[in-house]
Amino acid sequence: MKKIEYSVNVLANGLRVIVHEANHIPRVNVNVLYRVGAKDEDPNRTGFAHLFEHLMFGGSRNIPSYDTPLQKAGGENNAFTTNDITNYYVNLPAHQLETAFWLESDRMLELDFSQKSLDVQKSVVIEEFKQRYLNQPYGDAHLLLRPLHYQVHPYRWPTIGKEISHIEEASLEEVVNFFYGFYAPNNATLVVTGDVKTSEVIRLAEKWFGEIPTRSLKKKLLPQEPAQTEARNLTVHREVPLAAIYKAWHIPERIHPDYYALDLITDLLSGGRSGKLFQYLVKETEIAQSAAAFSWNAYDPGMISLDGKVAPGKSIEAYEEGVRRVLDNLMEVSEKDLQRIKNKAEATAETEFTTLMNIGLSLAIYDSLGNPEMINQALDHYLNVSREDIHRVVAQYLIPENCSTLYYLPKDGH
Amino acid sequence: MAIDRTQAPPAGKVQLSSFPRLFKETLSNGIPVIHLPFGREDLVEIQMVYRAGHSFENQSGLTQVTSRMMQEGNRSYDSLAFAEILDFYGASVDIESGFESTSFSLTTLTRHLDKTVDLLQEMLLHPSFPEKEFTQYRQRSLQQLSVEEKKTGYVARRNFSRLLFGSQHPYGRMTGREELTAIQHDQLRACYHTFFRPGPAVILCSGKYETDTLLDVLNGAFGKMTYLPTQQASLAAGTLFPTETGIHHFPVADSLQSTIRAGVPSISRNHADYYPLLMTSIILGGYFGSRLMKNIREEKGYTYGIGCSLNALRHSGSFSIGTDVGHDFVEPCIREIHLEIERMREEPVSFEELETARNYFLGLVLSRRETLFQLGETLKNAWVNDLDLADFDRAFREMKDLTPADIQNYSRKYLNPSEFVWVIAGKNA
Repeated sequence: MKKIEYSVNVLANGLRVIVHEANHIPRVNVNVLYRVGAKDEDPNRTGFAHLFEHLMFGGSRNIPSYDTPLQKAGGENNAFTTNDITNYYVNLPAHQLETAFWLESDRMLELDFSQKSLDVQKSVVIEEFKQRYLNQPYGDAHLLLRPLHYQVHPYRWPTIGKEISHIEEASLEEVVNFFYGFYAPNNATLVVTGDVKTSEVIRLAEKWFGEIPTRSLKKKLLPQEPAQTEARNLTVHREVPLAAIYKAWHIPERIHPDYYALDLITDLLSGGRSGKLFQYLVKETEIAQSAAAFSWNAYDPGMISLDGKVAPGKSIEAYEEGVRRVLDNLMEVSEKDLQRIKNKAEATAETEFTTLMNIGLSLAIYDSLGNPEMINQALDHYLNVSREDIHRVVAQYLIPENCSTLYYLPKDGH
Repeated sequence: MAIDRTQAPPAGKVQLSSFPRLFKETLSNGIPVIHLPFGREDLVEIQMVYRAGHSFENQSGLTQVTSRMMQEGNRSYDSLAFAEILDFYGASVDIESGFESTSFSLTTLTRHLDKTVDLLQEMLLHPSFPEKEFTQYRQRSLQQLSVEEKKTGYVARRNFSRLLFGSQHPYGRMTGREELTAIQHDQLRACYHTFFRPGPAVILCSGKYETDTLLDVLNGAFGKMTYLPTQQASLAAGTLFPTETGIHHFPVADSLQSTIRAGVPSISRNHADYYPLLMTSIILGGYFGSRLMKNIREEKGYTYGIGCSLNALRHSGSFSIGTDVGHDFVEPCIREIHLEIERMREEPVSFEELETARNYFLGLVLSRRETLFQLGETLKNAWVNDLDLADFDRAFREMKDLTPADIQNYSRKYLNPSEFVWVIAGKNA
C-alpha cells in the first residue's frame, strides 16, 4: 500500500485540521469528527447523542437549511453516531470547497435550537428505532446483549438508546447544554481530502472556523468495566423461526497492541467463505444456518461478538460444542491460514483507500484515537501478527469466564 | 475580520470531468473485451458478463442458483479449497444474477492477475456442481427465507412486484419459497450449458494494468474455448400494462411498522424520456431534499426515511415509492404521498428547486467516477441496457435544459394516481 501523505495543523481555538491532497478526481471530502458519542450520555437520556446528530441538520445560526445550499452546490452529505464519536461528512466538487466550510463552521458556531425541529426529529428517531431494532426478527438481540456484556461502562447501551421513552423525554434545554458541552472546535477534527491545496485549506479553516470560541467541555471520567470472572447467560423467547445465539467476549481498546491479533481472529473465523465458523458449523456439521464473528474497534475496551442461528433440528448444546471446537482449533492455526488472512487484510486496505471519503474518515478516526499516522501503520501491525500472538490472545480472551451469551429462542420451544 | 455568514460563498461553474477512455479488443476466439485503465491503486476488476438471468429463464431462480453454485467446486478445487485459494491471493469473486444479465466479477491485486484469472477460468469453464453443496445451499436459503418472511419489507417487495407486473412477467416474479423448493440438482448443469458454457457476452475490465499483459492473461484463460454466445431472447421484451391498482393489505404478525410501496409500471432505461422522468423522480423523492423527505420526514416525522425511484430496466421498468412507518401513520402517510403526487402534476416546481435537484444529481454522477469499481459498474449497466458506450455524459446534456414546465408534463404523463398499485405490509386492513 502506498503511504498516505497528510499535514496536521491546529488552530488557536483547538480545532485540528488535517489535509490530504489527491487530484485523481475533481472532488473533495470534508469530514468533521466530534469526540462525543453515546458513551458521554446521561444514563437516563440514552440515545441523545444520536438524536442530536439529527438536529444538526435542522438549521444553524445564520443558515436556515443545511442541506439545500449543499445540494445546490452539487454536494451530498451524511453523518453517523457511534458509542465514541459523531461524524459528519460532505462530498462535493472541489471548487465548491468553501461551501462546506461555510455550512460546517456555522453549525459548529451555534445551532438554531428549535422545539419544532426537536419534536419532529424525536418522532423520526423513534421510527428509526422501530425500523432497525424492533420491527425486524432478532432486531433487539444486541440491545439485550450489551447490558449483559457491560455492567458498568456506558457501552452498556447502544447508540439508538436503551428505550424509546428516553428519546421521548429529551428537552430543548438538554439539547442546548449538550451542544455547548461537546460541540466545540477543541473537541473536533476537520479533515479535508481531495483536489485541494493545503495552504488554501488552512486559509479557509482560519477564515471560517478561526473565530469560533474554545468551549469548556463536559467530558466526564467514564466508569471502567471490571474484569468479568464468570460466564453470564440470558435467555429470551420471541416470535422467530430459528434459535439464535449471541456471544460476546471482552477485548482491549482499539489502540491496544493485542487488537490486531484479535481482529485477524475474527477474519479467520468469518472472513469470507473460507471462514472457520462457516466451514465447520454451517457446512461440515450443518449445526448452524449461519455463524459470523465481529470485532468491535471501540475506543475503550470493546468486544468480539459471535452471532449464529441454529439449524432446525439441531440442539443448542451441539452448537455450543461446535463453537468451542472452532475456538480450540485456533490454537493450532497454520502458518498458511495466517498468511491467507494477512493477504486479505492487505487487499482490503488497498481497496478501502480507493475513495476520498474512506481516507478522510480514517484520518479523522485515527486522529481522534491519538495518532493519524495509524493510517499508514495499521497494515504493518496486522502483517506482524505471529501464530504465537494468535495462540496467546485466544487463551487470554476467548475463554468461557470472559464470555456473555444470549439465547434468543423461538416461543414454541426448540 | 467579520465575515457575512448569511451568504453562501460564490460558487464556480460545475466542471464536467470526463469519463475515462474505453478501449475495445477481441480475444482470439472472438470474445469482446472492453477495458478502462484507471486508478491509483494496484487493483484490477474483471467482470465476466452473460446474457442470462431472470428474464431468460422459464424456471424462476434457476440461473441465480446455478451461478452461485459455480463457486462451490470445479475440476481442480472443492468448495473450501477454492474459497481458500482465492482468499490466499486476497481476491474475491462477486456473483450477481439479475433480470437481464448475470456477472462474475473478480477483484484482484494487479500482481496476482494471472493466477486469479486462472481461478476464474476454473470456476467458469469447469464447475463440478457437487450435489451436497447444492442441497446445503438450498436448505440454508430456505431457512433464511423463513426469517425474511417475517419482515414487512420482504412481504411488501414480493407482493408489489407481483401486483405491478403480474406473476407471469419476469419482472413480476421474485424467487420465493415455492420457486426455490422446485429447483433440482440435475437442472443446474443444463442451465449452465445453456447460458454459461457458450462463453460470456462481454468481458469488462477496469483498474491498473498493462494492456498487453491483461490481454495475454485473458487470452490464456478464455481465448481458446469454442465461443458460441447465447442468443436467447429476453422474455421481458414487449409492452407492459398495469395489472392491478388500488390498495392491497398484507398483514404481518407482531409487526410494529408497516412497509408501504406504491407505484406504476414505467419506461425502460433507453427510453427517450428516461432522463426527464429521472429528474422528476429525484425532485419527488430521490434525495434528502426531495418533497417526500421534506414533507413526510422533516415536517411530519412519520418515518425514518421515504423515497421514490425510477427502476428503469432493459425492456421496461417501474416508478415506485417506498417507506416504513408506524402503524398509526399509515393512513396519514398515504394521504401525504397522494398530495405530493398531485402537487407534481398540478403545479410546476420552482426553478430553484429544479436547479438544486439537478446540481445534486449531476454532482453525484461525477462522484461515481472515483473508483475502478464505480466505473466498472457504470460500464456494466450501460452495456446491459444497450446504451451508447461512447456517451457517458448524456445525463448532463439531457438534464441541462429541463424546465419546471417539463417536470410538470412528465409528472402528468407518467404519474397517474388512478394507475397506482399500493401495497401495505404490516398492519391489518
